[in-house]
Amino acid sequence: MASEEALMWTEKYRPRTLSEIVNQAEIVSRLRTFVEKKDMPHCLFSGPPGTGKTTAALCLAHDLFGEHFQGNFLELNASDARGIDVIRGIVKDFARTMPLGEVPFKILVLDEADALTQEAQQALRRTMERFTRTCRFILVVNYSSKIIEPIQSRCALFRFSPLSKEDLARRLLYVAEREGVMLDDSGIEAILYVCGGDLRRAINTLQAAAAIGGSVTADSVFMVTGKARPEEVREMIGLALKGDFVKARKKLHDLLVTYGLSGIDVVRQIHRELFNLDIPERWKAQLADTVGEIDFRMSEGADEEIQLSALLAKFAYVGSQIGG
Amino acid sequence: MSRLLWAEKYAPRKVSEVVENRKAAERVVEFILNWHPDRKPKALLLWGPAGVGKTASVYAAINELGYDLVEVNASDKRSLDEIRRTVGAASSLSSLVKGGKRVILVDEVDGISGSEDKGGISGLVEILKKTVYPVILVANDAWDPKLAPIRDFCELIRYNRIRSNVVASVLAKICEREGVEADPLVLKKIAENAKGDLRAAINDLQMVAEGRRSITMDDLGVLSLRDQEKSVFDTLKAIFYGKSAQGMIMAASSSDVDYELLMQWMCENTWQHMQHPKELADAYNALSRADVFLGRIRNRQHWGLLSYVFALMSAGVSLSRETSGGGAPKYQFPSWVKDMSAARARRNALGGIASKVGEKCHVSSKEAFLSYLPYIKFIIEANPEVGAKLVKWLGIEPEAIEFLVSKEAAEKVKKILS
Repeated sequence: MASEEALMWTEKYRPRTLSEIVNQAEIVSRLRTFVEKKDMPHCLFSGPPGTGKTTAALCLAHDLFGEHFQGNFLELNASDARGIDVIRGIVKDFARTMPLGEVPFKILVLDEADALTQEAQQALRRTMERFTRTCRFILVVNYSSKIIEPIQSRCALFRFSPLSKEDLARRLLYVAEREGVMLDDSGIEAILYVCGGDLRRAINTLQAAAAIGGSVTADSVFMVTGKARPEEVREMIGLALKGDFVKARKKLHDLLVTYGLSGIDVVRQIHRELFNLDIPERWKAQLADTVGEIDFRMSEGADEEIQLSALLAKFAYVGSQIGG
Repeated sequence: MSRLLWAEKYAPRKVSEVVENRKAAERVVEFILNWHPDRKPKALLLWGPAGVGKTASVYAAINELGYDLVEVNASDKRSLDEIRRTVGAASSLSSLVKGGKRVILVDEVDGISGSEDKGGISGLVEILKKTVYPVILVANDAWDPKLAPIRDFCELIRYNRIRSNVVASVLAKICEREGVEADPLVLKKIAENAKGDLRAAINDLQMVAEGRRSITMDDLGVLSLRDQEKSVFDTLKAIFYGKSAQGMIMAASSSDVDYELLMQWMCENTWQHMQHPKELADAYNALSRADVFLGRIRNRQHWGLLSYVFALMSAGVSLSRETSGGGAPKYQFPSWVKDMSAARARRNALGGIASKVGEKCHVSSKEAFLSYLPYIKFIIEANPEVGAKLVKWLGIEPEAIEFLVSKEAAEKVKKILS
């Protein structure tokens, strides 16, 4: 299907058919019966990032439609094109027209459907119902609980679990071998450590580490993550805890302006770093409360700089209490 | 008597008279001279802050080359219809021969509302597809997401703010021509005040100097920003040195300074008054609470809440002090306000990249931002050759790369791709 070879490895090595998917065996076998019977219900794919939800949807559609994939398949990302208008417009137009080829329905994948507003989900529910004959929906979400009940009850639910370390390692080695990249055990360990069960980030990390040249080791992996995950966040927290509020604020300014991070990005990063900090454990939970409060206020208020400045001031206070 | 604006009277007539952004202006000339209907990209998009010579350099170029200029304002639907007719009528060969040397200038493209079908962005795209004349577009922010369809047709040329010593030297020349004797310090002050906007500086100069033989520092009182700053300082002092909560709240609510701007000033300067971490945390917490109320007002039009904003941002902040004395801080201009437009351009550009990546890699732009952009940045910086291929495959505009990676890496990639 791709006339030009994909250069992002996540795309180049994305499985094209269900038989290429190496994990999620149970899910894959159920999806295969859909292909055999040329019939399927609406589906809800839920699970953490990088566990193969979108890939499974793409593979299913490829296996079902073969050469007729193009006209019969539509992928929309709800967090980019959310709102009622999109549901009413694009989705309806796609869903109501007849499919091509021998499969009697089309497939519409709605990625990150948990980003849809309640109203949009209601509209979606009616659309799903009205056009069931010509179109099946696959909703892809991180949390199935964010989807309204009436939609959940109309869908077959598939829960994707995080990939096992073995599966991840095998995939990384496979990609490395095909790309002619030396990947040693320390490199694999390091990638698994920084990426958790997220295969997408794992492969991106591998590709970035390979771009340095030479073999991929723990050192090169940490070089990538050191730069790619703004170390500045940790530095900013450190400055605040030491009581250097002015410098911490300067760093904050850099993150927002120079790195172009959003305030929400910064808060989430702070939350992630929180538990790696070298402070007494009981303070971590307290700080998590403060971080959460600021996250919430940011959604209520509007000004990132004011909210984050308040957070840094709080860190400075905690720092003085710890007496570090 | 019709009054001529000095900014127009002394606008550059020739490209060589364009200051600071002369290279960009020369590029405009090249573009017009070498243009043909199959050229790719088909149009120029000149972008940069206000008053730095974007439109002026187009005028200078066509004046020098002897072209006709058809100028439209993009946010005016009627004028776009007009252009569409002209472009349409001119697409036959006979009229091309007749039509001769003409340039179409579309000003303020970022002023277009995105959603309108006729006119608007899609109207412009249609024009760009069909045009048999060179088209030059002008915008403040080329990276506004709604301009994405237009960018595909354009070569981007960036205009920079004009350094204040350059501005001052232009002002000096104008004074000479107008027969005004001006203290260099005065001109320097006007130039700095304009923050890189030459047109604003010339307008300020005209306001101060027109009809006079000489100007001194005392004449600068009319300039508005100085007043604005002065009243911010007074307000901050009244808040931090006030005796009663009531007085502090009054100072905030009766200030000439817009309360949102005042919040920024408070955020930038509050720490100077708080010597103890506890005070610091409490003061900024009060500011944060004030901001929450402000958000509720914005979201729900609940203007009755405004009094809480004033109370929290003034007395709430100031009275967080238990032991800290007054001190005499030097208040600083909010860094945030200064960099806002730069930050917005950057965020828009990165957002554009993220959405391209998202399309290719089946993720939302939000997810692309987090789980692709950092790695792509790393790859480009570590290995520009590989990076350039990646940029091309992802369909990212080379000009946008400089917002993602270091300048050197961006230059290398652009070189490889050109």
